[in-house]
Amino acid sequence: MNRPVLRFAAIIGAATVSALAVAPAFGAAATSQSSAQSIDLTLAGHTLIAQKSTAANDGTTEKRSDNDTIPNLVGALPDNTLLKAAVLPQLARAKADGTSFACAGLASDGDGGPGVVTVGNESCDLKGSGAIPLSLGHLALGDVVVNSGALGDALAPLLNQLGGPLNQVVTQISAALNGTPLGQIGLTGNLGVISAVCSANPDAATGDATLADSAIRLSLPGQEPITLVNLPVHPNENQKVVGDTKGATTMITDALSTYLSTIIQKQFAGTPLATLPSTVQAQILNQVLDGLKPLTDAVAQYLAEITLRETTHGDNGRSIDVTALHAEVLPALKQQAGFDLVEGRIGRVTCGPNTRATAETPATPTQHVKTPTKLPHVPTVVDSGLAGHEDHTARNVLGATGALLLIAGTAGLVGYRRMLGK
Amino acid sequence: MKDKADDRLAGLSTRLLVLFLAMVVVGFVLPSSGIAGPATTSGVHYTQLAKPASPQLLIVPEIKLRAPILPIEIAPNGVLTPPSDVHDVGWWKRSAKPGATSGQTLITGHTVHTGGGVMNQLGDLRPGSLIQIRTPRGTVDYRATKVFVYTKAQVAAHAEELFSQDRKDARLVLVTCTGWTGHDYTSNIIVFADQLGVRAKPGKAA
Repeated sequence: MNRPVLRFAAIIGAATVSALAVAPAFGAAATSQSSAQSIDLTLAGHTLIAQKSTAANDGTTEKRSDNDTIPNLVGALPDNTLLKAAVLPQLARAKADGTSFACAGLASDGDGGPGVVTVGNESCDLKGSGAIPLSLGHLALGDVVVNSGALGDALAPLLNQLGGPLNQVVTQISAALNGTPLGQIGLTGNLGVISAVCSANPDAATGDATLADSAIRLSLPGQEPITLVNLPVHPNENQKVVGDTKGATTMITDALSTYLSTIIQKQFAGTPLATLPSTVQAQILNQVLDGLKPLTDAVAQYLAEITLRETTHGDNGRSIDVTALHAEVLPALKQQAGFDLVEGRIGRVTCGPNTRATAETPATPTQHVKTPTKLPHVPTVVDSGLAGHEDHTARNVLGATGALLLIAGTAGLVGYRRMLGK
Repeated sequence: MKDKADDRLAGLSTRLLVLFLAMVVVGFVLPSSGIAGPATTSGVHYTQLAKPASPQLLIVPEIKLRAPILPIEIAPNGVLTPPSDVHDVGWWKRSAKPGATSGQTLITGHTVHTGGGVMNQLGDLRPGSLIQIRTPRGTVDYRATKVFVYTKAQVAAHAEELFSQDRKDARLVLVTCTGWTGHDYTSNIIVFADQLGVRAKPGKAA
């Protein structure tokens, strides 16, 4: 290969590496974009509600979907007997100046509440007069118990000792469990106003979430519901909620004890169990409860996994994805059949990444978000921690620089060798 | 003729390669200012800014922090959040400007648990560390007086003391997060610093 060709190849190689290093700066066809989704519910893997509002602007025209507000939650979830009227505002806008914003959430249908959240010159109407009971799922505990095999494991040693028909007893108890109100353990969201907002310009995206008067409760027929957790009004980013597992364990164990006792005493006439002395019956009951303890503990502990203000930053801070409340019921028992697994997101918004369409510098996101309330005298929380995400910029630059140096070095060495060869 | 030109070019390439390697070696060998120990303020004379000025750039030599300062505001829920770009810091725009004789200048920046946050090393500062804020009217020096950690609850309980503008003398307050639990930060690192002023030019000591 002669020298001109070699030099030309080196120049092309260097130019290619340089172009690769700066290529991301020329991406993104749309100048601004956002999306808003007030509620996204799936039940046992089937999507119940997933309407989303989206907006995108190419620098001249804004294209929107037409799902700004789902009319009401009752219409969307007709089988949810606990549900009262609620509105589900969701708004997404994308402007030609490179800014975009979105707000989404849930509010009861009435006056009062925190009022209107204004973003830019438009707003999400988040009026609300009280909490909305929303059933998040019913736990068919009988099925879980039967499917787990724990019942047979617990009874087997005792019935083997007594010479009883194990399979018959397990089958009868299982059938009885399925027929009791144990199948009606309910997980209820008592939800006030829940909202997520975001805004973005070509340089940055910001977001926030607010929850008012909201709690997650556990209920059983005939018993007072217990509050597993009261949700904080202003959660930190990606805040996990830990419920009252002790209270849940007690409630579930008490319920199991009551129903198993009833079953043993009243429904087993003619079986070896019915003829046993009461002390032995109590021993069997305790044996069963002990055998089920790991299961009840797991159910209580992992009843629901709830994340508040679930936030993902992307594009070096130029895009954001915020979900006010993300709840997953019994995530640890996904493989178990026999109960309604619910996964839901309430108030999800995304903003950016946006690009600059004109030389005009858009205002910062914080200047766009107008709030209806007076600002506090001093900050009470400084939220200056972020969960890490991979940033490949430095690595890309280093790689490009290394490649350039390699090319330059190679060219130099080849020239040097040619000089020595003369 | 052509061969001579080629020889000259080859020689130039060789010299450039040797120069590059030498610069790399020298760069590794020479000590950086960060290794030389904390910057001191002794023996320096200061004057005050004629008028308070908006902060533009935060410089903390000891932890190699050099970050643009953007104005930020508290959310209605009382939360102060730094700019989204983890390389920038935020100045609470209702707090004191550098050069003010009273109040507190509050600046906050992100900590990222995987690294890369502008204030990831803030906890390495010690009393006596030099902090500088560049403004359009000059660069104001501060000296750290206290570095400590408060839980989020303690910050909320002492918010007035930490961030109120009623303070009679000027103070700089730097804040970032710490205490990563795997999904959340539990605490804040807080640095207090006294305002020294603008370094006087030689022969113009205050």
